[in-house]
Order: sequence, then structure tokens, then C-alpha cells
Amino acid sequence: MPVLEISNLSFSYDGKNYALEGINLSTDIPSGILSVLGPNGAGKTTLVNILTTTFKPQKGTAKIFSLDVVKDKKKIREMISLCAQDLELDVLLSVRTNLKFYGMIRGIPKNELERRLDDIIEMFGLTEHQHKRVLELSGGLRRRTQLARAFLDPRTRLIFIDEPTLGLDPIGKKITWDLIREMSKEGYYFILTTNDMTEVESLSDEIVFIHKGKIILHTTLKEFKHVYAGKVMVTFKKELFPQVIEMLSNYLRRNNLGKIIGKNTVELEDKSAFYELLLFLREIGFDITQIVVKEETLLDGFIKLIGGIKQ
Amino acid sequence: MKLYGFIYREVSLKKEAIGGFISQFITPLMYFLFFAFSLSKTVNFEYHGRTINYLLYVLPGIIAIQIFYSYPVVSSTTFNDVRFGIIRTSLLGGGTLGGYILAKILIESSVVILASLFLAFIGVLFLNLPLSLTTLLQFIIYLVISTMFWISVGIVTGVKIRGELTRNMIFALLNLPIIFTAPVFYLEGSAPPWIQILGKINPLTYHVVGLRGILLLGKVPLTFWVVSLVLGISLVILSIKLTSEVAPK
Repeated sequence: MPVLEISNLSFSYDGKNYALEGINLSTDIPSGILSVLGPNGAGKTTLVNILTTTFKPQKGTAKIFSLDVVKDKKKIREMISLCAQDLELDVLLSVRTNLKFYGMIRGIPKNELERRLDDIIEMFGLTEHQHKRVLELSGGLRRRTQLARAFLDPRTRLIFIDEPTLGLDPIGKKITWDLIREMSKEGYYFILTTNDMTEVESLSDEIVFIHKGKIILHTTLKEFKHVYAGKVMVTFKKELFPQVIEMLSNYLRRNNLGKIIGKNTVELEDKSAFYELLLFLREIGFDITQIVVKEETLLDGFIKLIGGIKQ
Repeated sequence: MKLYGFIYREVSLKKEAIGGFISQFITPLMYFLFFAFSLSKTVNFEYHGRTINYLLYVLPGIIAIQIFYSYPVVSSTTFNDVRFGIIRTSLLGGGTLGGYILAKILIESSVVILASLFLAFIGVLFLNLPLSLTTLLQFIIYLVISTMFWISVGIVTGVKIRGELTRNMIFALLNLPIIFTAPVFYLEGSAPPWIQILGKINPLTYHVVGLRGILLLGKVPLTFWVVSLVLGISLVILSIKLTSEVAPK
């Protein structure tokens, strides 16, 4: 059963311009974590708003665990939780009161709720902070409280998180990523919307790119890296002699390692090709201290995919 | 359990903002003690053919002000609930809009009723306010109806006015004219015509006159019940309608 099935989904805020246009996607999120990427205004939040039943789709359908987001809204709401970028917590109330209020709203029976509160508060390392007002907590602890809330209802299976670690320090990020990874192993599914490439690399095996309201790529992280971000650029500090260019060009072509760009740059297909190149350069007596190596990052791949920074 | 969840939240918020809660009791009492008490030495009143103690005349108006003050309180909490996504989270979590609004009305009107009863008993103890069981019952029902109105005004303004500065300006510009164009401190019909015209379109006027009728005369014309009820229900409906605009569809 696919976790997510989206068919020809469209949404417009003004009836003229589409925030989402003809989106199709089907996945059972095998690794448990799906990242939705895209530049600002791409349509990520609109998609999440439709999937979390906040907005109604204007065209097409979207299903979660085979339940329709319009017809089965109530059942879906029981199975999902949303951690938006805004905390959506009562800052004047304590951690425990916030969680308890949410548990009551979710309809968790009283006795079970108290037990569940104790478990979740402990699981998320909030025991010593449970009676503090949210106002008094650090950004990381507030985010943790929000995450804890998402797991409070035992019926929850899919959690949407918008920018999971935005504004957190490196330790806060690590704690949050560890929690998400750990919970995904427990059988929870996650859909993350993020622009943090380190986060994507650290958490996701499956990624979806949205650009100008359309899904332009749905792939695995490994495949994405291979196609868009696996290349290694080797730049020679001085221009190469034409004879060297010819020799190098033949060698690269013969071994399918890459190609020469201009008069001093070699684009290699992957990291392993770099070692081959080094051996070749040493063979022809080239001074290898005269080169600069740059590996393409996920960010480079992301920018390449959307057609450059000016997009 | 779900409505109880919203009630639990409102009570918790009241406990956390205990200062605001106390000021809901204290502010009208201060009006009464300092303002009305000073005036009572210089002003005599004839109300519906009988001379009446000025403090006793003002008391129902002070109670009406107390009701009126639930509007900025609710406006501010609703504003924050929209801003911080509490409404969205609660409704996506399974709560209902009706539950959210009902909890606000129940808790806020309980506070108002408690504070109003406190003032009414001061009247009974020190000003010989005649408070029979029938009057008390009418008084409580009228309190609920009028509080429902001002709480709904609070919800409507909290949802619709999204700028904090605009909201504060509206509070600053409208609150005093609302209080002073209603005949709280002066005899009904004695104000200059332009104030009387403003008073006629001021809902607080109907609440002041209604409460005064109930507490001092033991009855109030049917028109006041009808007007107050229609105003209260209309505003509750409007508040549900407008809040649904910021709720998940």
C-alpha cells in the first residue's frame, strides 16, 4: 500500500497562477523518510497543506495510506501529525500542559494520556523541563516539545515536518536528526520539507524536487548524487599545452572518466575517476601540486537542477 | 474530552496570566471606588421617579464595563491563537471550531459572572441593593448573553485585525468612547444629543441599561432582552464564520 499517492493535483490561490500544477507522485517511502525540496515559493508548503488536509485540492486527488485527503479527512487527521515551522505551541503554558491539551484534543483517553505523557516526555528528554513554560525554553527544546507532541497519539503513523532544524545550533540539529532517524526505525513515516542539504544528506534516502509548482524529480539520494552532484572538477592553475590537452582528452574518453572543459579544467564523472587521473598525470610527469579539486555538493546539484541561481 | 481539552487550555491560560485575571476583578472596582465614589458626594440622581444613591446607580454600569473588558482580553488571546497556529493545530488534531469558541465563551463568561457577582454582593452589603432570587437569575442570564456578545467581538477582532499596531490603536481609540457614550456614569438621556446618538449605536448602552433595569427595578423591557439576545447570537455566528476562514478547510 503506497504511503502517498498523488494524481494530477493542482492548486491555485488566485485562480490564475498555479502554486501546484498537475502533480503526480506515488511512493511507499521504503526508508521511512521522504524529503521535499525546492526553492522558496516552489509549492512545497502548499503541497504539505493539502496532504495535511489544511487545504482542499482544486483538481486531482491525493491519498495517504489509500485514504483520500478530502473524503477521509477525519481518518487521515488521526494518522498524521504536523510540525510546522511556527511552533504552534502556547508559549505561556508549560511543556506538559501543551502536550496534555493536544492529547485531549486528539481524544486520547484520560488514563492512557497520563501514561503516554510520561513516556513521551522521557523519550524526548524533556523530563526536567516539563513544568517550564515554553517561553523559557531554548529553540532546540521548543522544537523537541513540538516533535514530542507529534508522537503523543499512538495512532500517528506519518509526520510532516517543515524545516526540521531551522535556526537550531549544530547540537540541536544533531539531536533532532537522531530523534527522527530513531523514530523512523520504529515504523513512523516522515515527510520533511527542507532546503538544508546537510539535513537531506543526513536523513533522507528518497527525495522529491518541486519547482514552479511541478515535481521535476523524484529519486533516491544516491541516484541524485550520481546524476547531479557526483562530479569532480579538477582545475589546473595554469593553462595546459595543446599536446597535454590532446593526450588527456584521449585518455579520459578512452576510459569514460570525463571530459575537458576549456583550457584548464577537467570534469570527472565521480570521485574514483580522480585517482585514475592522478595516476595518469604522474605517468606523463605532470606536477600534481598545480591542481585544485572541487567535488560537487548536493547544493550544486540542486542549483543545477533548477537551472541556476537566477531562477 | 475534546471540548474539555479546550476548557483545560483556557483555564491553564487564566492560571498562567493570573495578573490579567485579577485585573479583570480589580479595574472595575477601581472605577467604582475612586471615580464613582468621589462623584457620589456631588451628584444626586432621580431614576424612574425615585431618588437613588449615585453609587447604586453606577454599579450596574460598572458591571457592564467589566463585561466589556472581556473583549480586549479575548481579542488578544485569539490574535495569538491565529498568529501562533494554535487554532490550526487544534483543529487538525481533531478539535472543533465550535469547541474552541464555546470554551472561550464558557471560561471568560465564568470569570465575568464571578466578578460581577462579587460587585453585586458589594451592592447588597453596602448599598442596600435589592437582590431577589428572580432578579439574580435574570441578572446571570443577562450577564451570559451580554458576555457572549463581547467575547464574540473579541474573537472577531482577534481573527480579522492581523496587525498588532492596528489592534492596539483600535483599542486605544474606541475603548474610552464606548465606555463613556454608554450611560454608565450619568443619567440616561441627560448627555448632549451627539453623545446620545453615539450611545444609541453603542451595544454597551443596551447592556448598561438592561443590567440597571434588572438590578434596580427588578425588570427590563422585553426589547432589551431581544436586542441583547439578537446581538449576542449574531456575533457568535459571525465569530464562527470568520474563525472558520483561518481554520483548515
